Amino acid sequence: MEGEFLELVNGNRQRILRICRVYAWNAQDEEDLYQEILFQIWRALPNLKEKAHANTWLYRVALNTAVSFVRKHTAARRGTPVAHEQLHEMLDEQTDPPLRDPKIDSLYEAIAQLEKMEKAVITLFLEDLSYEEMADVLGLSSSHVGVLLHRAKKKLSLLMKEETP
Amino acid sequence: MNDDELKRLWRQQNLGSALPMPDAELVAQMKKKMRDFDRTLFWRDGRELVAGAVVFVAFLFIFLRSHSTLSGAGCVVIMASCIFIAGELFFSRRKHPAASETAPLSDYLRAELVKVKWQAKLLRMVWLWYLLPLFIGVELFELGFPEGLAGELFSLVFNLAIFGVIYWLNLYAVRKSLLPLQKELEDTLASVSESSPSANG
Repeated sequence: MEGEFLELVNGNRQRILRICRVYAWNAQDEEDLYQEILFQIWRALPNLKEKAHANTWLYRVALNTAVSFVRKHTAARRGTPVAHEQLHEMLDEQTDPPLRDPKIDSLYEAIAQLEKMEKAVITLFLEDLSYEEMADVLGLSSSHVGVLLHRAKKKLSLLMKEETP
Repeated sequence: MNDDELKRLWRQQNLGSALPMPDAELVAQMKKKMRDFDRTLFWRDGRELVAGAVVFVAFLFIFLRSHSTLSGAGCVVIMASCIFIAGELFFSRRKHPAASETAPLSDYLRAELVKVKWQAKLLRMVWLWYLLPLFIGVELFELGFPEGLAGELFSLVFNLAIFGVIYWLNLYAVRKSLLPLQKELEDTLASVSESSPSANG
């Protein structure tokens, strides 16, 4: 099981980190969420029956964990939304400045302002999952995902236009 | 920016240097977390059962030495309450287990919502399934020791105050943590149904 776990985590570390960055408020939360996702993967790994679907399975575990994490921590943070400056600081702390595209900052800022389900669907879309795979992860029909994604993309585009000077 | 450009931008991110962790350390950490998790569950369940068992044994002991019918009846009610409460907690856990982390998101949210609603109901009704049987038992038990009207009135008021505070604490927990949690889950689920094709015509 250890080998399987390491293979899965190492092969998907970037994906997990991107989900953490979408849902966490700051660097510390990002690290906590990362640990929590790894723990849930470890816990749930014996239930992974079909290795062919490991990717969608992993997204499901990661998203459910992230949603739980946000819910648990929202009460403590109610009334203190993340300032854009804070988000910038967080990104500055964690990514090498020469490698970072400023468009990424505005993309994360725009995603941070989406509703929870829109955030989930747009993350899966950016991860290049098909409608069927997104539907599988989210537990919705493909047409439902289509509607949700259309709305999320529209909002994202507006938000990114606002962000761009 | 079109879809392909957005996806390309997304995948270009370099997060490689973030949170480095040697493999052996990672596995050891997961094993430790799993052990801690199992231990927490074990102690949480154990605490509830041990508390009930201690009360049960204490009142069984008193019952066997009791010469008062009322006190004896009080002991029996308290012991029966302990069994009933343990059963209720056991039944609740089996009926509403933790939502599976591997379930699709909407199923996961629905399962969480059902669980939170059930917990809120359980706490709101705590007077019925937890406090009332114990209160009746304690009152009967104390009536078996005549202390005079003033003494009995005092113990009645004292017990009412204690049980009242416990009830209030449970309602406070519902208001402070469970209802906001329920609202949040309902909002998230609503954002799914709002966007359903039928809702949008």
